[in-house]
Amino acid sequence: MHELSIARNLISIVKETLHDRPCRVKAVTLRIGRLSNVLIDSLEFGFSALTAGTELEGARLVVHQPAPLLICGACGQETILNEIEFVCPHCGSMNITVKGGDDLFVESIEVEEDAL
Amino acid sequence: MSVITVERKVLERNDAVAQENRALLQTNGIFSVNLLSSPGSGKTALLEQTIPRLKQEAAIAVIEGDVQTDLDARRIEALGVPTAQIITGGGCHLDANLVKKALATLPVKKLDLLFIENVGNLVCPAGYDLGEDIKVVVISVTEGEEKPLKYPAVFRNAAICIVNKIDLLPFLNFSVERLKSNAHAVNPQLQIVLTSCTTGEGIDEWCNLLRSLRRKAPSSASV
Repeated sequence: MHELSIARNLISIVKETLHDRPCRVKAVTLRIGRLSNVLIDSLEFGFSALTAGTELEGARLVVHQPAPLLICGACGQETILNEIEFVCPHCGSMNITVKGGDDLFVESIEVEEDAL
Repeated sequence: MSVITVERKVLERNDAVAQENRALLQTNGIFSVNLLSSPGSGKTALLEQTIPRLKQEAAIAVIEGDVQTDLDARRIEALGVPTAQIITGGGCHLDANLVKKALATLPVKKLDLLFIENVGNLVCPAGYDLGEDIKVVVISVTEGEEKPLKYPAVFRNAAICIVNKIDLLPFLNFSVERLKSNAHAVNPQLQIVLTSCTTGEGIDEWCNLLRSLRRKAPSSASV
């Protein structure tokens, strides 16, 4: 449900960035962490519904989903978090911080300039 | 074809308004608590137990977020504290802007403690900073011990987890120990308090925890 609100925010960032530049948006690249609670399919659906009939119609969403990194406060090892288990696999410590899991960023916009 | 680098947070507008809310709350010495849970875990009942215990020592207000109806806000108003109702009309979470508008209707200069009761939902509210000092997640023992593993985002960002309805434990196959170990696997720092809003058990412990967190919060420096 909140993917629609995220799509709306995303569209306004794209429009602000382009501010009436004469171009066609081919793709918008996003970075969405796996712990950010965003369902990519719903976001794509919301984005296509909100952009239908606008200058952004047909733009693709390219989503990078970096795996979160566990950093152990006890042994210092860094591990990629695959399962949702916040325990250091090296020493079993639960004293960990997580990096990059809840990222929700617009990375870049790919455009085709209009012919003059 | 050209690529324009953007590198902006999708929810940056929400985060900016949340910072405005945080500044307003801190300047006025208000400690603020964002209450999150599934529908029916007992957020409103928890407030009904908490407010009478704390209102002698702190001027309290409540922002009530609901999808529909002002039924919960009326329950809180009956406790004699200022209440601002946000009806989201289907929206699954509160955002910083809704809270900003609600704050404008409350006597912020006179307040010490603000509870924001979010929309009942363990998914979407986790992504929206409202400007609060702490998030508190409420779960009830009828929901099962695996909730923290299924909804890690909300448990990772919370300072306190209230495990409510413990008066029902004799009737359920619910292991408090398993719940605690699941919750701590997701968030080792999470403080867990067992409560029953029916019997009042655990409510004093929760109030004491709130008092101590309030004393440590940046807002207490402004009083």
